Amino acid sequence: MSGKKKHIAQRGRGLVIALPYLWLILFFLAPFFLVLKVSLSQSVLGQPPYAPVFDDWSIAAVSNRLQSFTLAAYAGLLEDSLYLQSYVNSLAIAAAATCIMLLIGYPFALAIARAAPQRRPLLVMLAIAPFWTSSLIRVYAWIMILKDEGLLNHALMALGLIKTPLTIFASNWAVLIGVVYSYLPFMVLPLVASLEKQDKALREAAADLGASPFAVFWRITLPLSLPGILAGSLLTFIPAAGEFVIPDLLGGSDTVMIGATLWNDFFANRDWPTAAAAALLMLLLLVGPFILYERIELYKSDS
Amino acid sequence: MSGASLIQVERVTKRHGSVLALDGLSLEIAQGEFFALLGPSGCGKTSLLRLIAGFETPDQGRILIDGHDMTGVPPHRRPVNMMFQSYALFPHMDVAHNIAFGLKQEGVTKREIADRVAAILHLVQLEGLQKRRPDQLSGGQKSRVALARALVKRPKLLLLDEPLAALDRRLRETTQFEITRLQKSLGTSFLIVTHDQREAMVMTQRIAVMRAGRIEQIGAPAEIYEQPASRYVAEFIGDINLLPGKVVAADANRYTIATCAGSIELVCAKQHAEGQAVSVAVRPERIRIERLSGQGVLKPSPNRLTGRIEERAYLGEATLYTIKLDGDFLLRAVRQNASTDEGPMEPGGKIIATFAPEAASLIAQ
Repeated sequence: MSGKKKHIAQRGRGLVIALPYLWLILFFLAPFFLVLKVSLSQSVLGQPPYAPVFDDWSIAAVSNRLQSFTLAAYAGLLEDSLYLQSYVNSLAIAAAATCIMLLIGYPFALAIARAAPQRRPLLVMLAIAPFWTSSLIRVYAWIMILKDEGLLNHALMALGLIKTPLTIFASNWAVLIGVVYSYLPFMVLPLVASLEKQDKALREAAADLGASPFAVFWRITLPLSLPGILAGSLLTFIPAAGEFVIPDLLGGSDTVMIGATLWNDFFANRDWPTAAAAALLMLLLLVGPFILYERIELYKSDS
Repeated sequence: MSGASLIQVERVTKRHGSVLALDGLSLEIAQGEFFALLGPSGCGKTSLLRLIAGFETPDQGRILIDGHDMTGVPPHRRPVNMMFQSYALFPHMDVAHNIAFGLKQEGVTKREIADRVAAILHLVQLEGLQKRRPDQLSGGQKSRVALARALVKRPKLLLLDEPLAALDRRLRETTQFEITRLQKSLGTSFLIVTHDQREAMVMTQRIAVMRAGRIEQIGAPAEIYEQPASRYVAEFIGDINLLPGKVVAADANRYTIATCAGSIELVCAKQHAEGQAVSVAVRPERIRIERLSGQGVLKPSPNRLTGRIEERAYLGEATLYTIKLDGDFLLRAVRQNASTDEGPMEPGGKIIATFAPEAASLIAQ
């Protein structure tokens, strides 16, 4: 390769690598610092509804600002039991939903991964087919199913299984069902990807060495699919914890999830610093364990 | 065959879709025998191995192991273990756990597992590598772990599915001898599947040459090499000249064959009628050649064929000559480069090719 061509190739490579960084800086890092800035400010009446931060870049003004930074918004989070309740509730519903999705999704994924290779694309497409309809409409449809005089209660009463309608709609149960239904494909797809690439010879070798079908699953298939389980769980747990639409449509007055609480603080109470602080704390709660896990894995592979 | 038969395959047929993998195949393998299934890919040898292991079930026929019918017995309850072509080592377990896996399934005590794993590691010379993961092992080490993992179970029969195909030539040859040594010292029956005829001949006591789901010939390596039962076997194992001709005289097992290159006399144990169309099968290394001008260095032989050297290929330890015989048949002859005093023969030179009557055999056309 001539010198000039090589130079162009290198620049081309640099550009390709720069694009995702640019994307992350523009749409993740910049908004992150905006929110961080707001969270360190104080709520005031006006437009925007928080004390200005870094609008004047003179040294005196900056040092002045630095001194006026306050963690009041964060302290407020701890004082207000609504926030604590929202966090606990969000994490609990997300965790429960993730466990249920894992229990439903694993056999689902196993069935797809073990199907004849020529049928797999069709099955994967069927798994993601619900996405072709707006998620809002699909969540609305669950209202028709779950409400007191809805399809589910009608069916159960017609079968004589229950006498009085079950109150599922407008409760945490309805939210759980909605979350599981909406996010299941995000659990199934990483599991399929991980199960599909497992070498069949490993299972045969285990069986050959005396492992019953259950032992083959428990000692070979399951441990080898752990990366898929982790990926699926992260992909479902994180958005489920921050979910706003589903609890709003299916939840009741006692369903306080962090998404709704944030919305209230932002738009109803116009307390931007507290809402921003709450958002950052949520980020920390969700991303923290993930980074910790990555570190441990990195450490393990190094040693 | 020595001793009672350990494996009895009785008229087993197996189809994969429209492909007939095994076609009513029957086979017996003796206790303590090292047996090879040899054939090109697609001949059904791997299918037979998988049927014995229990990964697949026969469409017809049955398989007995040690006198017990294995129909309906799942792989994990069969007294056989397999060394896989890909080795199939469990990537999430270290060497010791890979080897201990089968013993744990049996419910062997921890103390005995530790003893047996240590003993087998010593046997396959892998001491000190217990804590390594499969991805930290070389190809040769992986093959030993796979072998140890299967042998530690003390199976009645060890199945080896192209076990050395992934190794380079030198390592393959040393491993072949190691496996043979292990088999002799343990006395366990080994059944190897391979497409490499050298591997089969070096390692095993008996070979079944397979073709399209059937066994073409079973016998000791020398028997298969020296007296191939068919053209297919003759051509699959080693290099061979097949000179077409017709039986003109048959006296007990002495035959006179008329060929385009002249009359040939040979000794063959199999019966061929006078007038039958046959092929005279002679291995290239059994043919001696000398320059036509040479003054009778070779012993007088009834089979003296004259011709001209067409091509010469230097193989290192030997030289391969392609000779156009009178009558236009192309004969291949190999001469060892054992001594340098004779010197190579030049293409174009006239030669005499001779071979002893015992050096050839007959194959029906």
